[in-house]
Amino acid sequence: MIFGKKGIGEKVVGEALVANDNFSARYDLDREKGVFSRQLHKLYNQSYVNKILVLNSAKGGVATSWMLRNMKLNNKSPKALILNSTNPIMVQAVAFADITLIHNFDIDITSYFKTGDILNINPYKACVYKI
Amino acid sequence: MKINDKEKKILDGVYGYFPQWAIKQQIKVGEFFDADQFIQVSECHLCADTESVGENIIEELEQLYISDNKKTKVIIPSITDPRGTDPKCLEKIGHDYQILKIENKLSNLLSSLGFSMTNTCINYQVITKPSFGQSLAYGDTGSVIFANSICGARSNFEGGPAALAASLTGLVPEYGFHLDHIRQPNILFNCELDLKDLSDYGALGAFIGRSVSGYWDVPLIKFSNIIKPTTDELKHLGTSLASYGSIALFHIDELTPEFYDKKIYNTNNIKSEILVTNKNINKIYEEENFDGNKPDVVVFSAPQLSENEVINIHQLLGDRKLKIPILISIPPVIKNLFENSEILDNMEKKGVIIVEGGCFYQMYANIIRKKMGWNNLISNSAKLVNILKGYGYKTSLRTTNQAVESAITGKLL
Repeated sequence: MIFGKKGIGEKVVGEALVANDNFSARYDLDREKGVFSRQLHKLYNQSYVNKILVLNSAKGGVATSWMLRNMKLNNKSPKALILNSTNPIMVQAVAFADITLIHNFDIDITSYFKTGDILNINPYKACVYKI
Repeated sequence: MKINDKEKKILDGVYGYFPQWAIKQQIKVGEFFDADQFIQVSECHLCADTESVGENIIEELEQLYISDNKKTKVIIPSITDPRGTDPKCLEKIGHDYQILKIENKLSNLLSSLGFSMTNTCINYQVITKPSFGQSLAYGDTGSVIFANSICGARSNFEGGPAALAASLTGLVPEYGFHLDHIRQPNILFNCELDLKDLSDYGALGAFIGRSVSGYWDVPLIKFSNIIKPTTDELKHLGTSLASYGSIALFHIDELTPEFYDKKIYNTNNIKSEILVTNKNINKIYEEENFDGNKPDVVVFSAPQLSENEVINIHQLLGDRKLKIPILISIPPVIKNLFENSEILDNMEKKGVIIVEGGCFYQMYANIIRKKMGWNNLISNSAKLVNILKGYGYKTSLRTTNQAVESAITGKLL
């Protein structure tokens, strides 16, 4: 079990999709297909739908704050986000979309977990562990 | 997070469901960032293009408005970022009436709430310039970074729902760039280079943006030579920094206002220094470049163009015709400025598509690409070439002159 900073959202369990890369809904995703669409992204062409995304940092513009909720209403959203660091846009986005987010660990979270790991996140206790 | 009696009333729904929804969002965000309290803001700038917002959310917002018997209004001056389409050029950009219908639905709701439909991302340039120390809730990242850095005003990135919330409560949680110590520079860029075109400033923003670790880094930029940048050049530097690095504030030595503020300008927190030369800038141009030499379109947008930028492109075009289209996006205010001039008419006759009140990447860029067959795109905006890759475009960054010449010759120059 590892601890970050107190997060936001509900407790969730799900399958991890991990990369040492960043995240922006506008810059990186094909939100209709539910896949990463930026060719240079390390998760290019992979589906993020219903996955726990484990990535480095939130990046880019403000559109993510609308887009995450839109993706959730269309059943095309990730289940949760675990980030090394985040920014206000991503926090505003998950607050609006009711998606779980946890961040700010002592270790590099993207090298600690692997794609396919089943993770349990408790944002109130600021912890994540592999099942 | 402490809340006062007035804020408690908003939270209890005394002022209606919509403000209650707003402050609940704000408290969640404030508690996440350990804000002690709310502070008042004097202006809101809302980023809400319909591609991002989507029909489902528009309907949710309409329901909130209806549930308050349509009485909810913004309580501070509130303006809008670019729209998702321009009804006057639907066919020219591959848009249909369904897009227009969604756009009208959201625009009507925002107007009813009391938003001024300024439809611009360069509000600091064409509407109201923020003042030093002014607390704001700005949405567009380019607006935020300009207000913070060039004006010395104070705003975090307030994404659409957050800016909407601020317009209804007149408040934001006090964290991030509302606090002195967060505004202090922590990474130094020593620049020994020549910047000649808007795209050069964008390329510098791209290099610095890629070198930082994200929102909480505050670059201090020092130039070895004396520079006297124009507002447009600083605009391109800022939008690019925000795009590539998620940066909301930078300082320029002996230039930006907080350099002269002892509470802010403090180099004790500088954790690293990076030298930037022309080589770094040239490498950005090499990397932001598509294969081959056949462009489909040249776009001047992101940020929208000022009066000076429009005049410059008009002059560069001269009497020549285009082999591939040029698209420019301008705020309604700029369109009005040219009302008694022939410049825009002349440009349209040459084949320039003029989008009023939109900004290319916020206008269903994926649909434009597919419908218009515009896959290879040239721009002088580093932000645009960066952002459009997610929409499947192949993009090249070029100087303004090169971009215009490429449109005239039909070749990537």
